[in-house]
Amino acid sequence: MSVNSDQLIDLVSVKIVISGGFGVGKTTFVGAISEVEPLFTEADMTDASEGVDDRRNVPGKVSTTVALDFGRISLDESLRLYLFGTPGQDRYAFLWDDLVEGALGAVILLDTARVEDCFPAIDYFEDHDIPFLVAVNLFDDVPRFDLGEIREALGVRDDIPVIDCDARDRQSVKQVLVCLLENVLARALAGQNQEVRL
Amino acid sequence: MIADRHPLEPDDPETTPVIRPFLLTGGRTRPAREGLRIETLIQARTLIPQGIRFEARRIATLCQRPTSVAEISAAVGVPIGVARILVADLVEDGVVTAVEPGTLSVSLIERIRDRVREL
Repeated sequence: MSVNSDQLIDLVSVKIVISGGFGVGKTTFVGAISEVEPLFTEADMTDASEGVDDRRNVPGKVSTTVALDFGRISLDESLRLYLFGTPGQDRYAFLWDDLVEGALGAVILLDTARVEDCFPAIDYFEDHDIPFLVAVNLFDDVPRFDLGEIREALGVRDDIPVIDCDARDRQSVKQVLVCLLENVLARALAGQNQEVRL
Repeated sequence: MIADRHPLEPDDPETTPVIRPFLLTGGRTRPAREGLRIETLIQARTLIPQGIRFEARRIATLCQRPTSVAEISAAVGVPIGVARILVADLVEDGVVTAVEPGTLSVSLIERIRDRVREL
């Protein structure tokens, strides 16, 4: 233990991953609720890839970097929530393990004009048994669909929430996060109050 | 860091230059310790020690207040993987400490939910 670890004991940081296709509004979503302007950095594949980027059939250690944006919310003096947007293309899904490890859950944003764009994210979070919901971002210029129809098109389980959202609106974004957290909580309670490691 | 690479050019391992950010790490691409997540909070254990320079000093300065690996990456202007290596070195040297992830208990999830609702 470090010398001043006592003062750190109660400090907790958690993260929620914001996913979905390219241009679906992830940065807007993060910016609507983050206490700071969304921050940008790069993730490099060298520390995450074991040569799995098969599409280009090149060895693992190349200099591919992807942009990553994130926001921060101080929930109280000792609890900090980070929102991380996944890189926008499924060819970068190999990076997600690194970004997603320990996540509370994930929000998948959906654009009804390009429903198929969110399939890689749904597959990923289902495969990794990570709690998620689908939030249909209400763009002004696209037709509205019944949420039941969208659910059917996505083929997600009944316990996966499919809800509307406006990624520009703080209250709407907040509702999406609360809905996700309710889902995370329900899963934790269903696990007979077993504690899960972050 | 990658501004000099044309964004539309496909990466060609034959022509892509050496990853310059990793010069900061002496060419290492693995951190000295595992377990540093992007949201892991890093806090300085001491005032900024004499004799540390450049990125290490910047990180030690940032972490006078708890700062996540991702925020360090953004502030120092290096990719996440490089930030991890630099931070891991500083942990090994006793300059900073990494806050261990807690246990995701029901009560913690409830607390997070309630706080988000209050935003």
